[in-house]
Amino acid sequence: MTEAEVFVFRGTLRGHTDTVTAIATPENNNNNSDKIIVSSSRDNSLIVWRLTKEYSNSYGVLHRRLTGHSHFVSDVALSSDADFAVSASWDGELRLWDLSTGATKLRFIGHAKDVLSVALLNDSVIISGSRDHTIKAWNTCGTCMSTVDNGSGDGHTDWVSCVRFIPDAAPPRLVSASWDGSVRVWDVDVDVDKGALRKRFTLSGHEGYVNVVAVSPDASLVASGGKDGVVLLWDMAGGVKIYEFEVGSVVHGLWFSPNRYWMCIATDESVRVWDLESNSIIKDLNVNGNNDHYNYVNGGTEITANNKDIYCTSMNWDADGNTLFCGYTDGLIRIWEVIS
Amino acid sequence: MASKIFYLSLLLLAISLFQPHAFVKGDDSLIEKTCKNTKYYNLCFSSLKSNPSSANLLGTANKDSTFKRVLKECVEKYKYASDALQASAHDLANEACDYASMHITAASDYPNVCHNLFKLYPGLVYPTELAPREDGLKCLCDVALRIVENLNW
Repeated sequence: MTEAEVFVFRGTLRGHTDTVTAIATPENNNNNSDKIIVSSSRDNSLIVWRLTKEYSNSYGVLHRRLTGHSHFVSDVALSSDADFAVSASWDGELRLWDLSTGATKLRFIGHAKDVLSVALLNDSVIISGSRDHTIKAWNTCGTCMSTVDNGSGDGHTDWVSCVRFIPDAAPPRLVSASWDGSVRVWDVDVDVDKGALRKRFTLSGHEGYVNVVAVSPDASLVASGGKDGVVLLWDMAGGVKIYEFEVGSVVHGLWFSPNRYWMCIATDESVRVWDLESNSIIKDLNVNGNNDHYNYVNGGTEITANNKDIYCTSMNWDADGNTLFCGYTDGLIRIWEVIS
Repeated sequence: MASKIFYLSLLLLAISLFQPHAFVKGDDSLIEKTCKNTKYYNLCFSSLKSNPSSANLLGTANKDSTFKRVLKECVEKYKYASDALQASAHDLANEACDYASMHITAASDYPNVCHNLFKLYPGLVYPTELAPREDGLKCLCDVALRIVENLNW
């Protein structure tokens, strides 16, 4: 990072009443006259935000709230044209939403337990990871095309916490993270045996459950993080670990910058921006407790929340790589901009 | 170790809130008839039998299929909460604090789901009898969650 580039806090998006679990941004927001992002939350809803970029403590407006899930919404993925979104929920379902109307177009029913993560490939293959230990592949008609469990010995042996596609891979490739401590990489058959997942390799090294995986824009690297407070960086060509970052507390979110050699790491303590080239910290983005101080009542006793309770749980970059959206446990989305 | 024993006791107390004993006589035949249509007969019967005003709700419910359906879903949600809390006790017994935290978090929201279900139908009113249960469970789960978080460190 050159000395001219700095992170500036731009404002917040207020609308969720509980933890923001995921933020999805369109692949190319620049071409849309109406810039939007979509967030999911433990308040059982998703919100479509219309970005206004007014620099007066408000960066956007709540355009539409998507309701229908009956429990926490844990993840969301957008179609390439940003007309549809797919959400995963602890109510055991996935939903396909028409963002122009806010209506549920489809419900994907089949998981035995909470659905923790969802990924979308080419607007045609949907992959979900669940507390039932399985990964399922669905088509956009709501049909489950395949299920990977541990019966074959290939599947995860515990909760599947995160699934992400590796972009532009041929054949399409998926990476999954689990509470069994492993990260697995799969080939996805989209031709003959549609939706079938075949394990290519297992990435072992974490000493605790893995919460999250992220794939670099050029698909050469995968980062993983979770309970052990270490972010592992894996080379996708050979499936070997090439680096590890000790961050010291539970990792809740990971995201690569779309246009810089940076990785963002969200933990209980802060959002840390790493420069992978120089292997140095560019910035620690912190919540200022004085600005976000609040009290809540528990059984009649007033308890003051401390900063430990407010931490980043989700993040995403805008397509231009200059705006970072961070979702927090207090329901706010905080926005930082990289200024040159 | 002492705090773990306390925690397990707290969990058992929380679970017992959703498996109440009968204190007063309800309309058994009406309760039985209604509960036969639910997936969790025993929970349904013991809950309604312990609260005679619930039997009155049933009278209304039998005339309103929407209310009946929503109430049935609520019974299931509280059962899920009970299941999650029992899973949490099991996790803690195995010293799997992270799993316990996850299950308590799940349990604390199921009553909210029940509350939200009533909001989906403009004509339905959230029963006053359910509000203390919802608040009570959330408080217990919050206390339990913080205890587990402290055990975890």
